[in-house]
Amino acid sequence: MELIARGAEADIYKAEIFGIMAIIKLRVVKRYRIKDLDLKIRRSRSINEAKIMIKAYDNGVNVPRVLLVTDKLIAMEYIDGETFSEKHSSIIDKIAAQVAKLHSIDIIHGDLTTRNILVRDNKPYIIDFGLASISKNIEDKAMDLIVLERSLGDDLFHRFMDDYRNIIYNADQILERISEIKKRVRYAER
Amino acid sequence: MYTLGIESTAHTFGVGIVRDGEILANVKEMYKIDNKGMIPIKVAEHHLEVGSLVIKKALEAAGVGIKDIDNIAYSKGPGLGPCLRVGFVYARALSLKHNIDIIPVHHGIAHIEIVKSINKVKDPLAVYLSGGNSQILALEGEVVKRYKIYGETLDIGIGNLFDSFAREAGLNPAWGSTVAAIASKGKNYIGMPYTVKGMDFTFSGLLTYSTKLVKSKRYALEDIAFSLMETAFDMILESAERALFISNKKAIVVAGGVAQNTTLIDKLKTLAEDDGVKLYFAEPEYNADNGAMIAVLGEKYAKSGVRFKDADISINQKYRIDKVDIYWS
Repeated sequence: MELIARGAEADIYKAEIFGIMAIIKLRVVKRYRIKDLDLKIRRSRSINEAKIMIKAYDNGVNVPRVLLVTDKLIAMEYIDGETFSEKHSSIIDKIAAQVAKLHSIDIIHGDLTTRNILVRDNKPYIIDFGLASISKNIEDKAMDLIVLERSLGDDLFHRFMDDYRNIIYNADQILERISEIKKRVRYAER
Repeated sequence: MYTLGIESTAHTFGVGIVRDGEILANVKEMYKIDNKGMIPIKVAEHHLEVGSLVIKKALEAAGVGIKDIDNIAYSKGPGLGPCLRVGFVYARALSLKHNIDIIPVHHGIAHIEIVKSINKVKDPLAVYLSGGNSQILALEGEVVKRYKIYGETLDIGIGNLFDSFAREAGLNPAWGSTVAAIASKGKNYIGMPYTVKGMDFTFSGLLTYSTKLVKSKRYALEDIAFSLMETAFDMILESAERALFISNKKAIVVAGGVAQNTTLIDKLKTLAEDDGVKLYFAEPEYNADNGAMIAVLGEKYAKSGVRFKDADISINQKYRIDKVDIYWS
């Protein structure tokens, strides 16, 4: 097992299990947290994250396949791809289709930045559902897109929205909410 | 350079005097809170009554006269309008009468800056927890900086949560330290609503639930208070830890009235140790609302050479922390 990243919530390992390369996301014990709550949080979040990933996969979104879930870890398929960058801008339509699919089944990613989009053989994969939730709320979908816009930049985001619009029936409502949220003071200068 | 600071955002009228970062005086009078909370106009009347005496005592403690003072800083906001006005009027009157520069400062930033100043720490992640505010912040920018809010409460402040719980549970005085004293006797953790969204958090669900438990009389008050505090602090710590990873800061400063809580400090110490960063905090006297923190921040502005326009010399009940220019780190 090779530690490849340390996050605030989990350690990420790369390892071979069941004969294939896998990513293991281990939610570590927080010593500051009261024990009962620590166990509950690590368990419910691991299960929630896996459930959402499975739902996404079952609905045709490119996400790593879940291999194993316990009360503190998720083992998932390792995607040998590159983090999305400018040079992948030709597949922005495919990314729009992926995000639109997620939103159409009410999955909110919660941290939709380009760091969480991998590209393998010109095919985008969406990763890290650690902050994901299920919601029909327009506000939540708009927030996902605001986060994405910040990391994509204006031009790419425009191209993204052209495709997203074609798939999501209430895209105009979501767009309207985006400009509404941006008018709120807290987001004005972010 | 001597700077006098006046604090009057809420229940405390405080006056502090600093010289080159050294705190020479920190005198305060607090409006007596029983189990009812604060009526702004009554608190303002209290501040008017005690103001002159507090200023006099501070000058005596520092061993200086009003003629020695180079700058007068005051809390511009956020806070209760009538209370802010009293502090502002005292500051303006002294400034006019003795021809002293007047400096408006942000109350929340003063809380953070005094802890930075006492500990001589620069550019930390700031965990600012008081009655009306609960925010995780860090400075951003090159020459002119501003505090960026990484996460904050989406409803009530954490101090407000404890105060409201204290009132609902019939505690006297109805504030956080009474809840903390009872919580220290609790042992059994009761599961409570835990709501963290990214780096933001909400407390109203926790307030409703813990109050309901008190009314049900099925649990010991000690255990309810204990579980309430543990849950609320753990929410703050999770947000702070995420902000620490994202901002990549190497130190944490905890400030504001709630930073007097020892359970909170212990938890933060553990977090800092596990994440390899340093934790800095201050004595309770400098975490509760006080005039010294206003003086410390006022002096930083005076030394940075910034001049305030007449239009800025006012009060602002909803003064936003992320709209204030900062010229140091």
